[in-house]
Amino acid sequence: MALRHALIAAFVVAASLGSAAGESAPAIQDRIKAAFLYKFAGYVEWPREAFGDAASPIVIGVASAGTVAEELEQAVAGRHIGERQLRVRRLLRADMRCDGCQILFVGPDVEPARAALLLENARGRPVLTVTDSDAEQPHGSVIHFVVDADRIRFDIAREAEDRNGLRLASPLLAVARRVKARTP
Amino acid sequence: MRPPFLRIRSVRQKLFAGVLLTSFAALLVTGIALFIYDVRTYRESIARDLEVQAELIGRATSAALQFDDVKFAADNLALLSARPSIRAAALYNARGAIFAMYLPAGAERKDLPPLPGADSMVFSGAMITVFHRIVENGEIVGTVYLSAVYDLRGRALSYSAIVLAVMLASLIVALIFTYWLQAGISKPIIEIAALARRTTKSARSCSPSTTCSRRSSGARRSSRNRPASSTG
Repeated sequence: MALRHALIAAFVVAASLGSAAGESAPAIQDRIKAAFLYKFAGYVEWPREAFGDAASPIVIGVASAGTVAEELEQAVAGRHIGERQLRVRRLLRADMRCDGCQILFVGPDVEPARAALLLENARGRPVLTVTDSDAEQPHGSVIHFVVDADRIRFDIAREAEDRNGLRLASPLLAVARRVKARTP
Repeated sequence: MRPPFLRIRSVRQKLFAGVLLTSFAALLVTGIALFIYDVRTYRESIARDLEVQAELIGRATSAALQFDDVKFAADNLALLSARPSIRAAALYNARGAIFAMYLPAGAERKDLPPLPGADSMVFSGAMITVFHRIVENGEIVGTVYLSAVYDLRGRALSYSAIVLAVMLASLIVALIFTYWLQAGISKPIIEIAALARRTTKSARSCSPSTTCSRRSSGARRSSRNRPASSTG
């Protein structure tokens, strides 16, 4: 009986080690992006009308079939930004907008037409739009993930930030790979 | 046996010695008090200064730690080259691994602790080390480590030299003032003493049979009443 328990324990340990060691690069990247997504919230100042009241949570809408939403749900559990709780909302394929979201993540697997519509519907509203694709930063995206020398970095478009009535803190701008200045 | 300055017979020299000795004693007590105060405040100020420095580094590099920007963090730490007293600095990430470091000439990576410690400040010999946790939204995102020179001996020596130089300058100024002021104080005394000496001398030169016998008895009284020490 003791031997059986020991074998089960050894199997569980080996399986967990194997899964950690054999984690794919996209899975690790999704975990990092999920961590970045909720950390962005600490460096953004939303206008007052972005929240129902002082206790309203910060809602992160995720439009992606990847593992970002899952990683994000685990990461934000029990976390707060100031007094506000963090919540994740998974968007369905039919969702073309994210009402009540303060952050909207549009993943690389979202069809270009839907991605463009999601960004267009968030335009001019107090939503931090975050995109992730191999292409150039799409129009309406405030923050865009890029892979630079095997590291996850991000670009910031200040014009989109202004249009959505947001203010990004200077430390976030300082660590961005590239900050696209406002057009005069 | 009396000290040499008490064996001085001249009023002028006694005044000089008295003023200088009083000034020296006052300056010495003030100098010692200032020295003790400085040594105590130096320790407190260097500790506070390093704590503030660690706090500033923490705030400046918090985003770099959270968004994995090693270069930005290293660039921030490199600014410490403007402070030669800093002998090593490091940033640890939330997992306790070294994220970025600053090692000036002569310092090595082995000088850095392999793991970060809790918030602390330790004086050890001529060094002071600080661990300062960086907290964002109630979450530890990293730790700043600073190691700086705490040269109390050098500070004490330089401060002593300054105090001695100030004492010397003050004594010279006191000497000049004493010389200037004592003319007004000792001059009348010296004149009275000179008059007394002259009177005594003339009394001695008179014979008892001459008319100056009354004056001589007065002069003798004056001579008896004269103090033992010379006033000239």
